[in-house]
Amino acid sequence: MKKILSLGLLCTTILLSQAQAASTPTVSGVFEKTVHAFAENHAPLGQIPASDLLNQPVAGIDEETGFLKVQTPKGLVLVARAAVTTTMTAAAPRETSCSYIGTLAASGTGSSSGFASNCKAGAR
Amino acid sequence: MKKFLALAGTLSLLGCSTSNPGIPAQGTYISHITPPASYPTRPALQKLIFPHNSEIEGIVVDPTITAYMEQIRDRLLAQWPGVKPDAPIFLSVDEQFSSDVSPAGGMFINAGMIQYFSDNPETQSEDAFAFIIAHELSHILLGHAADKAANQKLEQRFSGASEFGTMVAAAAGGSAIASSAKTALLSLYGAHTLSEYGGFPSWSRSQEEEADTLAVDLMAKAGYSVSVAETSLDALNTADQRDAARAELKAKAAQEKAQQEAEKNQKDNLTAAVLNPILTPGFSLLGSGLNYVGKGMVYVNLDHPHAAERRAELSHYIDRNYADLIPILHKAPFQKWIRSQEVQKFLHESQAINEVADMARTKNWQKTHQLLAGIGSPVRSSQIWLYFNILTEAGLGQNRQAIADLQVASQRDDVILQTVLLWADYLDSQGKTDDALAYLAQEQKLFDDPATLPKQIMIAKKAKKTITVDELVVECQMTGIDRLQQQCSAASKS
Repeated sequence: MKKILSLGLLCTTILLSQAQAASTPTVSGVFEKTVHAFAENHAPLGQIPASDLLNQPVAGIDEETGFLKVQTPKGLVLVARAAVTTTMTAAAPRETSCSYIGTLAASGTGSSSGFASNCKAGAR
Repeated sequence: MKKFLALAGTLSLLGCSTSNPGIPAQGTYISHITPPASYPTRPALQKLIFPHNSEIEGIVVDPTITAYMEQIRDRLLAQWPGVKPDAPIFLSVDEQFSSDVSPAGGMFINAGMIQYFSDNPETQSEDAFAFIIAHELSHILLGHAADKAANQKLEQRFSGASEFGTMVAAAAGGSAIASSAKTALLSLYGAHTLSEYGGFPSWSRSQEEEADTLAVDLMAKAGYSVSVAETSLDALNTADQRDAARAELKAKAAQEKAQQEAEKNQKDNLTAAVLNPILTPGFSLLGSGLNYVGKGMVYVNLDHPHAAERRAELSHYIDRNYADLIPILHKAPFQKWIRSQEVQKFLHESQAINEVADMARTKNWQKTHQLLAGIGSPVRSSQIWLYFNILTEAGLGQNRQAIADLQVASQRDDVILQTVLLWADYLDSQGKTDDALAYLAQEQKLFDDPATLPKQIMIAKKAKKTITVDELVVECQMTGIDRLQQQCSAASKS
């Protein structure tokens, strides 16, 4: 009975680990060969090799700075979000119904480039 | 060779409005820019907010909400080494996750943009939101909006002048006129060549990247953390991916297109059906140019630089110039603002007025009346609220009140073009032709847009003012805007 329980626990642990691994975001890319890194207390660590970060798990976000907490073989480091790409996905904006009436401007003079495209493009 | 000369000549006319060297391979962008000596003076509100007032959403004014955004703007603007433009900030009930800048230098923040930050607590920092303000401010500082407006008008003049010259030559004949026509044709050729070679490009891609980059520079100099500058680009990227996945569902896309067509047909007839009964016979709003788009379109079109590419470009730049900085995020003031009663009320009311717009499609005026009654300030005092309130009153048979409200709305400096056309139609229907024409001419000047010309021609034609019709038709031809020319032509033959 104990053996069965132990086996069950082991299976559960393995499955949980696999699920956790699948959901844990990782560093998927870098822009330079070295990356500026900081300690958890925000002290500069200088530049570390990009290879130390690639495919390493992102343990979270530093609340004070917004930097990524990356678990490397040499310990936890903070790196700027801009310094790496990750498998993390940002929340999407709400879906909208778009607009109901297009512009009446005869010249078609749209505003300058909006931050995002305008889904009223068909009317512009 | 001639092609080249025509291109060169036209380019020299275009001039170069900004001393912007482009994003450098080394160093910061802001350090390479020579700021312009001045910016255009702030025009009257109607021109300042154009083209937002040519759309039904118009603007929403609420200093209790925009004051905080203006503080962020001023902090960023203080980092700009040159003359500081006004860059006033307005709100829009638009649900899209976007912000915008008008050619005259007004900034517009959509409810949909604010909603995103409200919905996602992890994004709530002044730094992340400052990027939005900084991005739009950068469009103004770099002269993008003014460039675009100027180029469009120049192109229209080229095309319009050439077509008019050719028209005259064809009609009159003779060597002198023929010579003018040749010149006109050369100009037309030049303008078309220019378009072909990108003389009048939309510049959207490079403009967006320049605005993103200068935004980051301004943020860094202002002490903001640029590490969260890409928050909004990440959101756009997610939306892009979502849309791309959906684009593969062809069947669904076809269905959406069919739905759009159906709604377009339905909406084209809506205003006329509702408002015609309050006006005298012979008055029709069918020619007022209402252009319903309908629901169901993909959230973010792919005609803007893909968010992923923008993000990659910006990341590279930030990593190159600011990777050694680790500033603390400014969270508390933003969280206080985004959670404030005023902001939440604006978001709630923006949703409500969009529900009214949806409900108006079904002509359920009792329901729109109920929804409109529940909307308070600031949206209640906006033109979109007034517009749907007028429709609702007319739909419920409250004609006198609808006309009174239409008159009030038509005289405000934030008036939307739809309301302008409605009021002119009403004046015309009451036999006040001269008043209608004078009102439209005045509004055309204030909007600085010729959209009302077909309506002016129609009214003048009906009143048998032949000389006025001819003058207006020539003015319309000179705009060089095909769609408008066709509308004017149709109006003159009506």
